Amino acid sequence: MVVLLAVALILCLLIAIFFRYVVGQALSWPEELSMLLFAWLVLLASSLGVREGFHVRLTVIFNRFPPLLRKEMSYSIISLIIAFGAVLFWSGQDLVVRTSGNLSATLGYPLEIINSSAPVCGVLIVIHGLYRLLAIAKGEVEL
Amino acid sequence: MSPAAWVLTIGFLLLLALGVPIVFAIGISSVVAMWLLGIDVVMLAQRMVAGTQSFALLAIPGFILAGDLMTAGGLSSHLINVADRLVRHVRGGLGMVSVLSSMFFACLSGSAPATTATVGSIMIPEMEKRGYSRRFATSLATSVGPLGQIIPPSIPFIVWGVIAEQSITRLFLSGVIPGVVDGLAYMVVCYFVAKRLGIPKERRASIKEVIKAAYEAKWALLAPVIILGGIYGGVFTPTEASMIAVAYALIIGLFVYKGLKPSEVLPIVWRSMRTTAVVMFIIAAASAFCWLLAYERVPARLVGLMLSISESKVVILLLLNLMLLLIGAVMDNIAAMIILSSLLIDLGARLGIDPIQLGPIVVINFAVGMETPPLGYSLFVGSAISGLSIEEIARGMLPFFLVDVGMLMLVTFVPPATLWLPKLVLG
Repeated sequence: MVVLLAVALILCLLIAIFFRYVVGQALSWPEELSMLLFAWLVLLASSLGVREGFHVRLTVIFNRFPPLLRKEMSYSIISLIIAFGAVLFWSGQDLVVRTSGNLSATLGYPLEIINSSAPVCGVLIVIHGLYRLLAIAKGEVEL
Repeated sequence: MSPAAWVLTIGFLLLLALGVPIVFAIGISSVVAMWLLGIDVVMLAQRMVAGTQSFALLAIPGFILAGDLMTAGGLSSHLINVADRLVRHVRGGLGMVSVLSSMFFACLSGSAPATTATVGSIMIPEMEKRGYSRRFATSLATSVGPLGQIIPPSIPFIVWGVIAEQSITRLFLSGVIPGVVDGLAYMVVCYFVAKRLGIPKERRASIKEVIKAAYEAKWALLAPVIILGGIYGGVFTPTEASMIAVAYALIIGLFVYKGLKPSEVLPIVWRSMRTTAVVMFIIAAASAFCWLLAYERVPARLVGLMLSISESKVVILLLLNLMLLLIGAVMDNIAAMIILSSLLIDLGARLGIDPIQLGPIVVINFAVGMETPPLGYSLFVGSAISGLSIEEIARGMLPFFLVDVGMLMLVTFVPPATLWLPKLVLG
């Protein structure tokens, strides 16, 4: 899904370049469409980061704690992340409700399409966070 | 300070120290501060979505992907070949090959860890074979990583251009002279180290060999001409140039050098998008955090505090550099840049620093943070490639770090070092 969005994003920008420089006629839609794709791409890929644990963190102090305490800390940190996901979902669905009916500037697509990326990202953070919590409990990963 | 301001400063740092991923430390402290201030929580989602909505930031996935594709496609090994033929016969030549090839690679890539990975994986075993210690070879490969961010194209310059509302093209050009000076100084270090270790000189490559290597590498050498030439000539925007770089890397990798197999393309795209997501999610979350910081007037207070320390501009600039180096050592550079942006811009204006000079002061200090422990992405990559511990690499890095500090002094106290080239090219 993320790869698909990325490919669509690149194609969209390349089409824009082709039309602007080769055909000589600038298109107006690719800029807004590519930013819409980008918002979704970033928010989807980031929530996957919770599951795969690729978000950057400082480990220098963490690693000095004894292993048992580290496990407790990992649980707390993932729980905090899950709570953040829940708040983001709540905040995002509020945003979608409040902006519903509004249209985007050039393409005129309903703003729900872009704004719903936030609550979806929140839900996915919760789901991927729970998955990560299980993986830690099984001892597969540390955080 | 109000409770919310404490949460945004001390609370945030505490979460960071305990090992919470940076982006969630930013997000969680923002949520708590919003709750304390009674600000509607809808602001979080609104700022996060808005944080991704800048056309210039689309250059980030572009340049990350182009760099990954070029490495996989064999462009970087051709660049290393050219560097090898050019400087290997000088004393310390093999070390200089590492430096020169990362300077070439920096013209294609905007990332420090990618530069260390590309150059290190080829050059560390090579240097070890010829008598250098693995520690020196790894420290060198780690230290040249930041050149990837100093020499354009550069991801932190793109981000700084967007937040400080300065021309990205001008900022790119401001990094050229500091990057080249830094690279040359690294080469001098290589000369003295090789002399002390008594490493024999290599055979000089004949003119014919040089030409042959350059001819074979022509597609790799042409890439920065098209990408950067297009940006400086005002033909493309940086975002367009990054996408052209992606298309170029694909065509050359798949059909000309054939180092890239069609089945590898999608996994590379996924890997680049992971890197992009890490950077962009921080940008998105930091946009809510910064709004709250400004609301609580934290940056303004800190600027007042800094200016009250001394009357002298030189002392304050030295303190600024020290502060940025320390923060760069423990923080992700993009997160640090965004969080501190309003403080830095305000301070720069009060001290009368040209905004285009302020860009490289900030970006280069944080780029040096890529090679310093405890949090340095180039350092992590160097350690992963060589199997050496972070502490060991860090010890070997001291001479290079001193070179970087010297270069920072040049950037901070000699304005023409950063301002002359943008003015020459763009007027």
